[in-house]
Amino acid sequence: MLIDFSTLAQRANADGEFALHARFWNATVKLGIGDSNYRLDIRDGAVKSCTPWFGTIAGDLAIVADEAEWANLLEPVPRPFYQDLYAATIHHGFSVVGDTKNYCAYYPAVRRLIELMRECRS
Amino acid sequence: MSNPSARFDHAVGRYVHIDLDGVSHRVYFEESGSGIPLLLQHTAGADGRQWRHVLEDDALRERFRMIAYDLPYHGKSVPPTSRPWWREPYKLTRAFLVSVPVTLAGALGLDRPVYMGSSIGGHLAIDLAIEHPDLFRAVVGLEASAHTPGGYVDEFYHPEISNDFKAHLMYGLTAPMSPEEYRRETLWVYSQGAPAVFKGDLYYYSIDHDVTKTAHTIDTKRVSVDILNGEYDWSGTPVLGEALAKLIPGARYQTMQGLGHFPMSENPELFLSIIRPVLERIAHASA
Repeated sequence: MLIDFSTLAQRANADGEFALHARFWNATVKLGIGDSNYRLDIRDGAVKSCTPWFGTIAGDLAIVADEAEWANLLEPVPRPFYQDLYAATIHHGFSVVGDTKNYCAYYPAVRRLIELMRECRS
Repeated sequence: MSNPSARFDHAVGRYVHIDLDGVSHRVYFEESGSGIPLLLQHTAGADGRQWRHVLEDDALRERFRMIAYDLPYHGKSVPPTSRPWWREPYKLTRAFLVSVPVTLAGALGLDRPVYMGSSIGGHLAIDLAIEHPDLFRAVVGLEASAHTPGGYVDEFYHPEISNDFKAHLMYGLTAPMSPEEYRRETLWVYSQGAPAVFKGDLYYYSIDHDVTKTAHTIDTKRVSVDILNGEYDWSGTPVLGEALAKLIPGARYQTMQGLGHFPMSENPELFLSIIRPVLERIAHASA
């Protein structure tokens, strides 16, 4: 497992920047990491759960890439165009599917969540 | 009388009234230094504050009269009072954008200034070299490309998406090793643009600017061309910058390692170490 999901929710909920950007956010975010899927339930701006998921990848927002791509994204100092999810979807192997308006509205929260994932990398 | 212990920046700001496309605009600019005029153009949706560190550089102040201006509708250059701009979509065209530094140079009495800009400003460097080769002695295009389609999208001006989206997208265009405080300052400036402006500026960036068939007409003996793109700029990528330079006989290109789309504001110290020799060469060639 690339990310220590047991601590991600705790870190996110203790993070002032994430709390600011995630205000009023209610969404189910799915992460596809190679052959494994994970589900993050976000309610009123807090990460309520962060668990392995064996159902469909469809959700309010799904971020999908193979494990090597995630490893590149989560490097402490990423190589060019892995420094940002938006860039990684244009230049690398990431795809983001779901509600585009919600993704854009909460892009700052998603961006911060990925920074926290870097800190929670196993 | 000011307190003798007070610390002031060198840059001083003022307004000039210029006619652009038949409309009077009150344009704000800040200037610093003396010598060869150097016009500094900000990126889309931002303003001249992006140049504040460059304006304070002692080495450049000795050789250049640096002038960083806010485009109309940006920063302190508020929209004109003589037209109902609020009834029409804001859209930056090539013709209008080209007219700003050209008219400003005339109003300020600048003798063949050097022009430098980033992003839309980098694109504009090339359009100026094509259209006004005798008005500018040199152009420096930062994060420049021949054509960057795809950016004129509704997500950049949508009632359900705040300015935070644009600001944080721009944060992602900076290099991860740039100082955090300056990455955040770059983001802050972006978050303050009028909501319609960033998308409107991208009309020029993504649609109206296309020099793929005209860049080769630039005569670099009349106006020298330097193009520098940041290693981490995922929009005006190094590949695009180098490809543009190859279209222009005599143009110089370099990749700015460790920098992104906002070199002058995201990591001023590193940017200055790269740009001083470029501007020094231009100054030397002008002597």
